[in-house]
Formats: sequence, C-alpha cells, structure tokens
Amino acid sequence: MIYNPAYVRRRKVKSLIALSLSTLAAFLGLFWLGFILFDVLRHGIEGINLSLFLEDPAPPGIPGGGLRNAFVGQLLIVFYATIIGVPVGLLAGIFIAEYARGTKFARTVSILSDIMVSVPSIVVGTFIYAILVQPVGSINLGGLIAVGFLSAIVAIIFGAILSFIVNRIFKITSEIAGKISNITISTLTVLFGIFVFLILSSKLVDKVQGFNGWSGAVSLAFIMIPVVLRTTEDMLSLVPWTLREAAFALGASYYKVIKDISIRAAITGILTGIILSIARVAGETAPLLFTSFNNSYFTTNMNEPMSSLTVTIFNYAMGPYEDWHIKAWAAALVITIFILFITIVSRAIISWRYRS
Amino acid sequence: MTEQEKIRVEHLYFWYAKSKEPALKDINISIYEKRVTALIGPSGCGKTTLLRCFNRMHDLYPENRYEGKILLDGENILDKDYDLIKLRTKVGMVFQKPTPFPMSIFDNVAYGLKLRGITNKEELQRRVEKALRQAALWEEVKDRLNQPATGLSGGQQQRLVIARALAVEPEVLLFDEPTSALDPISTAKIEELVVQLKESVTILIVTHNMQQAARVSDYTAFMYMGELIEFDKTDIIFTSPKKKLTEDYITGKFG
Amino acid sequence: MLIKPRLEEIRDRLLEMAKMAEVAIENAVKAIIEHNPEPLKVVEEMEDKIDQMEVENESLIISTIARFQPEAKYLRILIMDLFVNRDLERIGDHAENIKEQAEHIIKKPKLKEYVDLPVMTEITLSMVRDSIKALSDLDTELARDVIKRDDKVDALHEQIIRELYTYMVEDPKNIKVGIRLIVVSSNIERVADLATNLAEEVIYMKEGKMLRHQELD
Repeated sequence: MIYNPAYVRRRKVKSLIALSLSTLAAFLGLFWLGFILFDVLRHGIEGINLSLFLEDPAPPGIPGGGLRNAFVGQLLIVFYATIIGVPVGLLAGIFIAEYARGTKFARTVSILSDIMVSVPSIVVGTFIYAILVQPVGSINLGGLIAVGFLSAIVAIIFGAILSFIVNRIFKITSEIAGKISNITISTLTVLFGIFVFLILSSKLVDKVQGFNGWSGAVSLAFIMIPVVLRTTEDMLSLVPWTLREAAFALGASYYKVIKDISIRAAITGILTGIILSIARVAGETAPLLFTSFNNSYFTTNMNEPMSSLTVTIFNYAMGPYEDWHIKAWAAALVITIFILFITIVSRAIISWRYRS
Repeated sequence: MTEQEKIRVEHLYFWYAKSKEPALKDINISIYEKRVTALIGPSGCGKTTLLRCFNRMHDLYPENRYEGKILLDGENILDKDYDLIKLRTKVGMVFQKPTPFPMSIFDNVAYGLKLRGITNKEELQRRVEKALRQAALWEEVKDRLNQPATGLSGGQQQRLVIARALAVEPEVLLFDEPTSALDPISTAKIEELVVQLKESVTILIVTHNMQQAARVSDYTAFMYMGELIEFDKTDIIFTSPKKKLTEDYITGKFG
Repeated sequence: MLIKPRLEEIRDRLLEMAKMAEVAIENAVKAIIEHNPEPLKVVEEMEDKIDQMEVENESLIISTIARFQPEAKYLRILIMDLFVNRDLERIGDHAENIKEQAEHIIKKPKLKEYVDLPVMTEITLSMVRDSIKALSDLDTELARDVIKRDDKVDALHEQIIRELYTYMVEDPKNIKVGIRLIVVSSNIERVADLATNLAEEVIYMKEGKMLRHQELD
C-alpha cells in the first residue's frame, strides 16, 4: 500500500484553505449585492406612492409631482426596442444556426455579434447619435429606420400567413407550381412591406430632427439584437443534429424541421434569451442620453425627445434638490424590481419546461 | 424460400464533399423483400454511408456526390427527378440514438402522417395506434399518449421512433445501429421487433455488434474500406465465408 | 429470445427424421417376417430422405451455434441435437443394412416362423419411439425407462443367435440364411443401443448429467 500520512494531511490542509477562500469570496459578493438591494429598498420605499406613477414632474425645486412621463417613456422605448430587436435577432439567429450552419459567413456574424455584445453601451449611444440624431437635412432618419424595421417585420408576418393560406388552399405539389407561388408570394410581400412603410412613415414620422424617442428605441434594439441572436444561435446549436436528420428522414422540409423540431426543442432557451435581453436594456442609461435624451413633460410622441427612468435617475441623483434624490431612489427601486421580476419569470419558464 | 428483389444497387460510388477518395467503391448488392439484411464491418468501412444512400440522407450536405444506380422497385432513386418525399415515405430510418421529437408521444407518431396532409382526427388516432402496436409499445403508453416523449426510457424511445417510422407505412426500414445506446434487455426487445417486422417490411440494419447481425439477419454484407467484400445468407457468412477477410473479421482477428 | 424458433425448427426436423427411421426399421423387418419384398421400397425411400435431412440438419445446427452463440441450456440442447441427428442417421443406415440382408433372405425359402425377432424388433422400436418422445417432451423418466429396456434386447439377441446356431448345426444348408439372420439381429441390437444413446442425450439436455458408460442408479 502506498500511503503517506504526512502527504495526505498536507493535501487535506490545502483543500481546507481553498474551500475557505472560495466560500469567503462568495459571501463577499453576496454581501455587497444584499447591501445594494437593501440600500435601494431602504431609500426607495420612502418615495414610493401613487402620485409617483400618476403625476408629471413639478417644476424644479417645488416638492410634489411624480414621474409618469419617465415610466411611460421607458415603457414605450423598451416596447419599440423589443419589437424591432427581437424579431431581427431571432430571425438572424435562426439563419446563422440553421440555414448558414457551418459556413464562413455564419462564423463571421457570430464573432461580430460577440464583439457587439461587449461594446460599451455608450458607444452604441454616440453611434446612433451620430447617424440618427445629429442634424441630417430635414429628415428624421431614426424614425424612418425604426419604421423601416417595423414594416419589414409586418411584411414578413404577412408573407408567412399568405404562404400558409396558399399552401392550405392549393395543396401545391409540383415543383413549377411551387416556384411560381414562391415568386408571387415574395413579390406580394415586398410590395406590402413598401406599402406599410409608406403609411407608417407618413403617420408616425414627422420631419423633425434632434433628440427623439425613435432613436432611443433603435439604440436599445441595437444592444438587444446581438444578445438575442447569440442566445438563439447557441440554443439551436444545442439541439442534436440527429434530431433534425430524423425529421428529414420522415420527409420534412427544412422549414418544417426548423419550425417543428429545432425551435420547439430550443424554445425555453430562446425565450429566456429574449427576456434577459429585455432585462438587459431596461437598465441602460448611456445609449438613451444621446438619443431620446430627456423630457420634463409627458409625451407619447416618438418623434419628440422622451423621458426615461434611467436617464431621469441620472439627472435627479445629480440634481440639487432633496425631493429629486428621493424620487431617484424610488425610480431605482421600481426599475430594480422590474428587472428582478423578468429574471424570475425567465427562471420560472425554465423550471416549468424542465419539470415535465 | 422464394426471394423477391426489392432494391438493387449497381456500381455505386459515393464521394463526401471535398473528398477525392470515394467512400463507397463499386458497390453491387441485392436487397431482398421482407428479409433482414445486415451490413457489418469495422469502423469507417462505409456501412453507414451505404445505408444513408438508400434514403438519400447525404443530400442534406450539398457537395456530396453519387455515381451509379440504386433501383428501388426498378426505379433509380439517385435520379435527380426522383421525389425525395416519396422516397422517404417508402424508406424509413431509425437512428443510433433515440430521437424523440420535443412533443407528445401521440404527436411524435403522428408527425409523419401530418407531413403527408392527414388531418382527420380519427384516421390519425387509428394509424398512431396501429403503428404503436406494431412497435410493441402500445400497451406501455396507451394511457399517456399526451405526455412528452422525452419522459420515456431509452428503449421505449427507440421503439417510439420505430413506431413513428412505421406510421407512414414504409416498404423499407433502415436501422443505423439501433441498439448501441441501449441496455441488453431493451436491445433484445428491439432485436425481436426487427425480426417480427420483416413480415411486413424489408429491413436493412447496420450494426457494430456482429452477434446482433448474426441473430437478426437473413442476409449479411461484409464491408471493408468502402468496398463490399462478401454478401451471402447469414447462415453461410457465419459458418463458411468464402473470403479470408470476412473470416478474419468474424473470428475477431481485426476490426 | 430469437434462438427459440430456431430450436423448435431443429426439434421438429429431428422428430420427423426419427419417425422416418422408425418406419424404415419397421418395414425392413416386416419384409423378413412376412417374406415379402414390398415393404423394402419404403425403406429405400426413407433412407434417401434421412440422408438428405441429416446433412441439412447438421448445417442448420452448426449455423445456429455460430449465429446465436448459445450458452448453458441452449448449448447442451444444440450439441445434443447434433448427436441425435447423427444417431438417427445411423439408425437409418441399420435399416439399410437390414434391407440388404432381407433381399437375400427373401429369395430363399423361409427358415422358420419367427418368434423372437418380432418381439425384439417391437421392443427396439418402442425404445426408438420412446426416446424420441422423451426428446420432444424432455421427459427424463421415460428416457431412463428406455435405457433399462436395452438389457432385454441384448438378451433376445443372444437367444436368437443360440437358436439360429442350432438350426445351422442341424443342416448346413441353413447356414446361408442363418448367418444373414444373425446379421439382421445384430443390426437391430445396434439400433437399440442407439436408442439408448438418444435417451442418454435427452437426460444430458435436461439435467446436464453425462450418463454414457455408466450404470443407472
């Protein structure tokens, strides 16, 4: 028997030291997290009342009023960011993981979006400022781009529904008929997209310039896209290839395989990615500073500068008035709870999915 | 025993994308109707490659290339005009690892049927039950058809996959090492099932396990380095093979 | 178990073969007793079939061993099946031998009315029949009983030799037929020995006990 008691003792001591150090580090992290949460709660709870949500800000220095403008602005910006960013990220992720699987193009996009994920958000903000906010003639470029994205998504949904209906009614089997129907449907989809764009841009986008809500939504969407893209791609890549082959072997087309097999198998991860990307952008301040900026007045017009919680916290915390500080704490508490809530929701989705 | 030819392979060559050396070289073989034919040989001998030619699984990867003919009921399935959906209805496949889809047991078996436009509830129900019975799984799952298929054991999952393949009433079934991920008892069940199924379908089975080939098959093909070395009745291959290479492999001298 | 249908097939074929061997012996002796060449045709026919079947059975058994790699019970059964197959073929050969003698015997006038020969044949055939029954039912009781009957056959064989000896001493003209009848009797005695072998093989199949060259308890 090769057994050296002294050596074994030394090993046990080393193990004990390593264990204590890592436990200590874990508690250190937890302590600060708890401390921050507790502090936010302690200060924030003071300012929480109904008028905070229902009233607009009082003039500077005068106590009272609320942050209704910031809540609504925040929701609008995040909402538009989500409907622009999520479909783009999702479809791009599906493309990279499925149709372009293993190609150089897919790898390049993957690496680029990794870089994009780690780009400081203020860089995104200044970038969007440079291309969309800084005076560019008399066109609201941010609004046009946002509306462009929106109408593209609406057109894609339209095209999907149209092809579904056509397939149901005509039960296309021959290859030529398939090609003809494909071309017709794509042409109709593009025309419909242009039509939607023209209507939406005339209704939603004024010819103004300067800070506006659209550019805020676009810059948040820019942060969301790579996050959604990468999680979608990763989750789809985790679905075993043989599962797809099994579906092909049953005679399924690639579209069917993606819809019925890949996405179904990866849906939990994809949903979690989407929700976490919303949580991620809900707490962003820097990209909004140069885009939607701030607005002391209540507005739902995306063409105007728009107030948001994060920017308001930034301004109020820096401000000279005690009342502002209290409101900043309260807003911080609300946003923290919101992010906590969506994180918990995503956790719940995962455990619900894997329970069965 | 009168033997009816179901598939005939004539001078088949196959190249994987970007490979100059063919993975299959001049394969000629007859697959008989309602018989079990086993493909055996050491790793990398091309047996799985050959199996995947029969439902053109290789078409998933654009630069793969075939040459020669595979005649299924007299029609060349390698023909560009041969409809893949038709081919994959006639020729089903079961993979090495169980591949239950992320849906209920019922939906799994009904998947192939729905792909073929069968939407009538009663018909679906009838066909799903029939397929599950054929795969000897009905009694075990009839009370939980709506539960996710991933909750079944490995052996049950594999029989579910077989039921799914059977649901569209294929004429040929390809098995790619169907028991290599299963325990001995589940393996025995699958083997018995394979032997039962030959009453209604023609079966091709690739297996690493020589004894499995010996137990279940009527014909055995021995492959080596992309070539078909010997093809004969299993009784003959395992008692008096004609080629020395076959004998060496079967007696465990290499492989 | 995939091996079972195979084993059943072999068992059925062996039983069929045994039936044919039995019929062959029965008819060969019948020809002598009735002094009539007619039954010999049956012997000829059976013998051809038995030979053909022996070859087929052997390759079937060997390929079953090769393909299913049987162990314990199944291995014993298959190895014994191989022995049984060979034993049955030998019984067929003895029927052929008896037939050859019968052809000569029938040409001469009947030496005497046969008394012991039919008894001996009947006991031997009962042994063959029962050993086969023991085989199909794996009935070791019956197999042990078969083994016991062998002594009676041996005794009858001795008796026949003694009797024929007196006939031959009495009149040398009887020698030609007498010797042939002794050959017949000894062939029947060999058949009884083979039936005993079959019975022993059944006991081995069932119990794994080798009884050959040992006395029964």
